[in-house]
Amino acid sequence: MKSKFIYPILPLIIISLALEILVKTNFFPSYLVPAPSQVFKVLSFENLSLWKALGQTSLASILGFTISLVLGVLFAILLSTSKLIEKVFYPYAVFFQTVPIIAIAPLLVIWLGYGLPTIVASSIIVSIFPVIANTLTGLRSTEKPLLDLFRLYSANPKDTLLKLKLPFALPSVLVGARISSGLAVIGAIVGEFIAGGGIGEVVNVSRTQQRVDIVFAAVFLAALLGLAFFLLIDFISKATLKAWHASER
Amino acid sequence: MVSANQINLENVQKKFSSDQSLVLDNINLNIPFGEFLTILGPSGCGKSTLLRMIAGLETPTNGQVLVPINTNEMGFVFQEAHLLPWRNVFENVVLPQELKNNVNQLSVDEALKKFDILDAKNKYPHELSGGMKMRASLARALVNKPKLLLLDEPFSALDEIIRQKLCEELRSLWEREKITVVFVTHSLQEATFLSERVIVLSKKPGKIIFDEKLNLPQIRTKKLYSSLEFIELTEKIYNFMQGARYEK
Repeated sequence: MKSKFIYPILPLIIISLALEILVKTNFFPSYLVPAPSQVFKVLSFENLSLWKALGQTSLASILGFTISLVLGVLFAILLSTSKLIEKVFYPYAVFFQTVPIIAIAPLLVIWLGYGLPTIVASSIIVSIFPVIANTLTGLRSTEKPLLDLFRLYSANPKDTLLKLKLPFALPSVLVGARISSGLAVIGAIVGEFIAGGGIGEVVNVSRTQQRVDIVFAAVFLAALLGLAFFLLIDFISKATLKAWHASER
Repeated sequence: MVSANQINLENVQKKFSSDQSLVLDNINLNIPFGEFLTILGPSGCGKSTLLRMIAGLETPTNGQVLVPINTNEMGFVFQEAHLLPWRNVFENVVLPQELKNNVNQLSVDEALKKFDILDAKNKYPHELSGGMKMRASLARALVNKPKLLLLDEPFSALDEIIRQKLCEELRSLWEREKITVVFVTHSLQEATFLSERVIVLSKKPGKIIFDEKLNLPQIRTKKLYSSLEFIELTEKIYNFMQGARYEK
């Protein structure tokens, strides 16, 4: 268990130490790359607003991810009900995958104003597609003999969905959720660049002030947030699939 | 003659819409309630399609299939066990009752006991051997005490010893309960050991080329395999099976 955490942290420690030496010996100028000790100083004492920003980004990401998960699963269920519905609506789902969020974020500000609604919308747009695509694949891959069995026992559509198709799709839904969790953080930060607040605004403002130490600290916190999301989904995945699915045994 | 006490197939023809090829042709068959019927035939001759039509999972292109039994009163066993991997054995076996909102724990335990799998009721399918999975699948098919049991090559993936044991258990279950059984298999020995009646289908499009009641004792044990009557009957069906490969 210990090694699970130690191994990924080792490269971080080594790179930080090397960077510290390279910056302190003026091999890298500190206005381009800050010394890790400076980044830690920013994180620990100087900038309480950075932690407040993390709180704002976390809230927007959690909201964006949760809404993406719920809407994505519901939309995939709708698409799975008929091939015709899938043909008509699936291209619109692909829109979320291909749309350059940075281009439509200003539109979101016009429609939803500055602040949380725009940031959450940006997070949803970026993170919903993996949930839709993976859930749909899972729902479509239900074994035919099992569908026949449910037909034979005159199962109603609700039971077929809740007792067969959704449990069958669960591993795929969780794969989608894993991908989506990181994207929700990215989407929220992009939204904050335009709509203000959170880590996005901290990065934007610090960039203009040439405070690369704050930019690095903010990026570090954003990465930690994405990692926390990922680990949470990983935990849920293990808890729900461990008893029966090969991927978590 | 159509009767409420039998399953009746009249001039049944089946084409698949995908390639319009004829799978079954001119099938006329009566299966009286309480009979153990086995369908034999070469691969691709439409045995499973015939079984699925009796179950109501396929509709005939022409002709009619009359099954005076509600689908809720049928049990179906596939070639593989097809258990729900997220449910343990008990939860798999109780499923047909759960879907009818009619859960009766005692009857589930009874079905599990019947197939000697009660001790494994809390295990998940991935923790079971192939034979145990099939036992759970049989228990699931029988938990609602069906009037009609349809089996599509259920033992084909099992080793010889387990296959023989399950054959004996299935036969003794039929002897006790006299439910109607339609059994699809590739195995001549299985067919002769289990059935009261055997039909053989020709190669695609499948037509019935052999239909005979087997004159064997009601109570059947392993000893039957070495009896002269069993060997003669198996050989007779084998010869028809050989013919089936070339029959047009």
